[in-house]
Amino acid sequence: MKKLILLSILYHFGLFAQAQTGKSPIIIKEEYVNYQTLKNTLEFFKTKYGFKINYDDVEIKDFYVTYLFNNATAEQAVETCLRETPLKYTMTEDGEFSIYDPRKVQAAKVAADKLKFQGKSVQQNFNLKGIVKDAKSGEPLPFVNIVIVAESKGATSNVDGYFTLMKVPSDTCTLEVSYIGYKLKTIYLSPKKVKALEGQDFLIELEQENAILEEIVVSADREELLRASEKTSMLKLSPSKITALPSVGEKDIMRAFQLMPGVSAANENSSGLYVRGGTPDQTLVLYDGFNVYHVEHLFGFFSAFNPNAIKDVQLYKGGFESKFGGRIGSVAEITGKEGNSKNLNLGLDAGFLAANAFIEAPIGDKMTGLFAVRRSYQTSLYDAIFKKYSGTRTAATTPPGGGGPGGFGNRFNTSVSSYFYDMNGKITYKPTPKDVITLSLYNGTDNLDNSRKTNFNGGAAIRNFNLNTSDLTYWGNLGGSLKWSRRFSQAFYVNTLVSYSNYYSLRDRSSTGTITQPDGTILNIKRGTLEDNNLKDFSAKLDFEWKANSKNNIEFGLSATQNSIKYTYAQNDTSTIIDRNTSGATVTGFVQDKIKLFKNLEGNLGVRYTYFQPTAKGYVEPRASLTYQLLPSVKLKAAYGVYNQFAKRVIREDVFQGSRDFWVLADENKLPVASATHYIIGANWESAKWLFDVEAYRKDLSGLTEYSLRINSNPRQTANYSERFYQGTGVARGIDILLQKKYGQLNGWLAYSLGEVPYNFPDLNKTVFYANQDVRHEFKAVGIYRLGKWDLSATWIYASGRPYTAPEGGYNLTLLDGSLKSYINISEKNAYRLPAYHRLDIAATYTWKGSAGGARSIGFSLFNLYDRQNVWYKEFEIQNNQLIETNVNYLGITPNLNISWRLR
Amino acid sequence: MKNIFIILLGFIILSLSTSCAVSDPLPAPSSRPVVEAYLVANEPIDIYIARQAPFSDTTITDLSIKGLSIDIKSDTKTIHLTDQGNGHYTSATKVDSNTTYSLRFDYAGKTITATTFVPSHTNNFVCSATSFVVTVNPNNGRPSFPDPALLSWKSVPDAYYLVVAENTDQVPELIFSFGGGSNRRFFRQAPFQGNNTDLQGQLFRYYGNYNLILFRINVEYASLYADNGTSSINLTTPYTNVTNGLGIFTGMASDTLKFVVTK
Repeated sequence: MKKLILLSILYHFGLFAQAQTGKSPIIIKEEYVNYQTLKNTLEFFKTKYGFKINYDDVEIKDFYVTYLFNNATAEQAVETCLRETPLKYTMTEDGEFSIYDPRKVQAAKVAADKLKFQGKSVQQNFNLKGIVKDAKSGEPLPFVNIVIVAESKGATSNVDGYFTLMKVPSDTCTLEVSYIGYKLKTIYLSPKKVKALEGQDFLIELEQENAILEEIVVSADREELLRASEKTSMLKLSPSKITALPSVGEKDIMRAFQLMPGVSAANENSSGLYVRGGTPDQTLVLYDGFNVYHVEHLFGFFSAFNPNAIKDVQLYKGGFESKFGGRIGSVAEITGKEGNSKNLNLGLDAGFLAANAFIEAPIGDKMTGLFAVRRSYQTSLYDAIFKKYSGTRTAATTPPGGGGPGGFGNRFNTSVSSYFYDMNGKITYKPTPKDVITLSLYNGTDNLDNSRKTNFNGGAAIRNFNLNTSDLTYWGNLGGSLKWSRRFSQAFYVNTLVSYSNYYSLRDRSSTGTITQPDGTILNIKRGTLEDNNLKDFSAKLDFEWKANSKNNIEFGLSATQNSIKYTYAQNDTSTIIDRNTSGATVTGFVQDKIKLFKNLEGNLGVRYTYFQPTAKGYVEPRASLTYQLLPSVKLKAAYGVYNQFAKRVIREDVFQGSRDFWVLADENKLPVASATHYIIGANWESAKWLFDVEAYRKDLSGLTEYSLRINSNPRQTANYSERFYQGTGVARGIDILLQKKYGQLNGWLAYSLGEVPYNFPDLNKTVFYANQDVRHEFKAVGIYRLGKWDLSATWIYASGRPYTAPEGGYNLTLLDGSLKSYINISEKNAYRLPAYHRLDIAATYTWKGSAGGARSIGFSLFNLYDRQNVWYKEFEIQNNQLIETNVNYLGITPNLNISWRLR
Repeated sequence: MKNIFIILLGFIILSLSTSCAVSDPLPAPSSRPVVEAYLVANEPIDIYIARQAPFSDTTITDLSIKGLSIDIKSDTKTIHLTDQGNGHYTSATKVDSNTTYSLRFDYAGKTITATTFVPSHTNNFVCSATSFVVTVNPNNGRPSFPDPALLSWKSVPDAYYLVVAENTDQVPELIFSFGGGSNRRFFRQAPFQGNNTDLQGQLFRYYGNYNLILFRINVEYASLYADNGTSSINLTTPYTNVTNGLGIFTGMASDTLKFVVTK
C-alpha cells in the first residue's frame, strides 16, 4: 500500500500547488526579465523579494526566462518562470517553493517531503468536517473519496458535497482526495490549518481535469473516464469527459455506460440500460432523487439526460444497498449540477441532431441556479434515424386501401413535423452553513409526428374524400424534487425530499376523415390504434445519516410513494383492448450500516421493508455487501440482496405500431410483483495505472411478466387484457471482466462479459428459452489517445447475436366460407440467433481555451466506421410457399460533427 | 498498450471474417401434421390431414398425408375413418350434437390428439326479409342497395356465431365487379358473440338464390382468424387445439335460411 501511495504522490505531484493560487499577496509590481537563465531569475527573486526557493542547479541549468512580471504574486512568478519547462514546483503553507523535475522520482519525493508538516501534532483523534467543491465553479462535489493515507480509511462526501472524517489520528496527517474527472489532490494537514478552522467546514477544492494540455510534459496526472473499483458492482463515469468518446449526434451518458462491462451495447435502438441480463425498466433511474421512468429520446437512439446539467453519475450493476429500492436489477443515480457559485457561466453545444445551451450563475450570496435546454432540429442525420426507427420505410404517401370502382383524380398534402427537447433547471439555496434547499426540475418530450392529410376530389362513385392520418408518437417525462438537507451535527445529517414524476406516452396511429357521397351524405371514418400510457409518481422521503463512530456509518429512512398508472390500448375507436387504470401506495423503511468489521474487512449490511398496498403485503429485503482488502492492491468482494419491483414495464411485441412497451402497476393476479435475489462475488487488482476487475453474478428472477400475442387462445375476447399477460421465472448469470488503463496519454479499457438469461414461461413456451436481451459474449474496447490538444478515441463493440423467433413452415386451412387462410408455423420462442453485432466508432476532438478560460472544442466522429450491416430484426414474407427473409438493419456508417463553447 | 490494439485489431479481423462466412440457414419444418376437421352436427365426417409446406423445398405439390389410421370417439361410440387416399378421411356416421368428440392417430412416432365439443342447433334463427331488390343505374352501372335486413336468433351465453352467405345457383349473375379475386360466391362476417346481425346488401356480389348459414362455433374456430405477424419481433404462433399437431379439430352446428336477391 505504501508503494501505491508513493506512486500516487509522484504521479500527481504537480497538482498540489495550484490549488493555492491567488492566496499570496501581490509583491512584484513591475519587473522585466530579458533572456536570463532560470537560475539567475530565481536568485534575483530570492534576493530582491525574499522568496524561499529550493532547486537543483543541474536540473534547471538549461532553461531561460523572458517575461514582464506585472502585479504578480510569488506563486504566479514561479509558475511563469517554469511555464516553458518540464519542471514543476510545490509550495508549503509558509510560502517555501521546491522546484523539481517530475521525471526524476527521487527529486519528486524530496519535494513532496517538503510539504509535510515537520513539527509535532497538537490534536489527535479529532473529527474533521468539511466540504468538497469544484475549484473553478464552486459546485459541491458528491461521492468524493477522502482518505487518511496513514490508515487507509476515510469518508465519502454526501450528495451535497459534505463529509465528516471520524477520528483523524493527528492534525499532521496526509489526506488524499480523489474524484472521477478531477485531479487527485493530496492535502497535508498542519496544526495551524486545523486550528484555523474553528469548527468551520474544511474546504477542499478540486480541479477538473479538462482536455487542455498546456504542458509538453507527458505526465500521468489525469483522472480516468471510468472508475470501477470503489464498490462492488459499481461503475462511475465523468460526465465532463464523455466528450472524448465517439457519439452519434449527442454526447450521451447512457451510451457511455453501454461501453462498460455488464451493460449491453447490442441494442442500438435503445439508450436504456440492459444491465447484466436485465431490461431497462429493471434499472432504477434517480435524477436528483426522483424516479425517471423513461430515459430515451428519438426512439431510444440516445438518452434524455443532458450531460451539461449533470455532475455525477453512478451505476450500481447489482447487489446495491438498502437505501435504493423498487427495482430488481440495477440503479443509475444521477446528480444534477447546482450551478456556478462564483461566476456567471454560459455554454453552447451544437451537433447534427440538436443544439444545447446552458446558463449557470450565483444569485446573491446564498443561491445558485442552473438552466439547461436542448432541442433537436431536422437534419439529414435526424431524418435518417427518424425514418429507420419510426418504421417509415418510404416517404411516399399512398392512398388508403379499399378503393372502389373507377379511377379518382387525387391530390394529397403531406406535412411531417417532429422534434424533441429537454430542459433542466435547478436552484440551490443555502440559508445557513447547515442547510441546503434545492429545487430541481426536469422536462423532456419527444413529439415525433409523421401525420398526413389526404384529399381526393371527384370521381364517379365518391364526390369528396378527406382523410387525416395521425401517426403521432408523443412521450416524455416531467419531474421535480424539492429537497432540504440539514446537518444537525458533524455526525448527523438529514435529508427531506418530496418529488413528483410523470411519464407520458401517447401513440396515435389513427385515421379520421369524411367521405362525401354523390347524394351529399357524409360518412365519418375513424380507424387505427391509440395507445396512451400515463404514469404518475408522488414520493416523499426522509433519510438520516448518522456517523455513529469511526467504524459505523448508519443510514436509515422512510419513504412513501403513490403511483397511478393508466394504460389504454384502443382500436378503431370502438374496441378497447386494454384499459388499465391502477393506483397504489408503497411505504418503505430501510436501515443500513456501512461497517468496518475488521482491519481489512468492510461491509454494508442492511434491510429494507416495503408495504405494497395493491397486494396488501409486506416485502422484506435483506442485503449485504463485503469487501476484503487481501493485499494492498488486491480486493475481494461479495454481495447478496433481495429486490422487489412494483411498477414494471411490459413489452408489447409490435414493431409497426410504435410504442413497444408500457408501464403497469403490479397486482395480485396477472401482474405479480417482480423479485430477484442477487449473488455476486468478485476481485480486483489495482495499481496506480491499471485496474483488473472480475465479477461473477447470478440473479434469480421471479414474477416476470410478458405481454404477448404469440399464444392467442381467444382472439374474440381481446377486450379481456388479462388473457395476454404471461408469468414466468428466469435466471441471469454471467461474468464481467474489465482491464483498464486508468491514466496516461493513452488510456481506456477492454471489457468482456459472458452471460445468459434463460426464461421459463410455461404458458408461453413449453420449454425454457433465452430472453430477448440474452447476449452470450460481449467484448468492448475503448481507447482514448491524447495528442496535444487533440483527443483521439476509438470504441469497438462485439456482441453475439440476440435470439429471435422464426417461421418454420406454412400451411393452409379452408374456412367455413370456402376461403383459404394461410398460416406460418413458428419455431419455439427465440430458437434462433441473429448474426453477431459489431461496430467500430472513432472520434477526434480538438479542445482549446477561450480568453475567459472556458473550454471550446470541435469534434468529428464516425459511427460504424466499416459500415457493418448489423441486424435489428428480420421481416418475413411468404411468396409461392417460399420464405423471403429480409434483414432490417441498424444504422450504417454515419458521420457527425460537434462544436462546444464555454464562457468559463 | 500497443498489445491491446493488436488484440483489438485481431478481434475485428476475426469477426469480420467469421461474419462474412456464416449465412443463416433456413429452418426446417417440424413433422407436426396439419389437421382440418369440422364436425358439423347431423352431418357426416370428412377431415383432411396434410404436412406443412417446407420453405426450403417449394417443388412439393402434394402435401396430403395418406395411410393413417384415425379414430374419432365420443362417450358412446368410436368411429373409424376411411382413408380416401387423398388426405381425406371420412365416415358416413352423422355427428351428434351436444357431444364431446376426441381425435386420435399416430404420425411420425407421435400420437396426435384433439378434443372438441359439438354444440346443438340454434333456436329461432330468422331474417327480417326473405329477399333484396338491387337495381343498377343504366348510366353509370352503379347498383343501388336496399336497407339492411336483420338476422336474429336465440343466443347461448359465451357462444360464438358466424354468418356465411352462399350463392347456390349453378351460373350466378354478377351484380357488379370489384375486379381482382373479390367476386366470391361466399361471404361472411367475422365471428362474434351476440344474438343478431345486419345483413348488408352491399355484400352480395351476385343475383340469385342464397343460403344464409348461421354457424354456432367454438372459440378454437374463432381463434383461426387471428393474424400471425411478419417479423421476428411480432411473429405469433398460430392457434391450434391439436396436441402434437397443427390446424383445427372443432365442432359446430349450422342452421340455414333461404334468401333471394333480385333485380
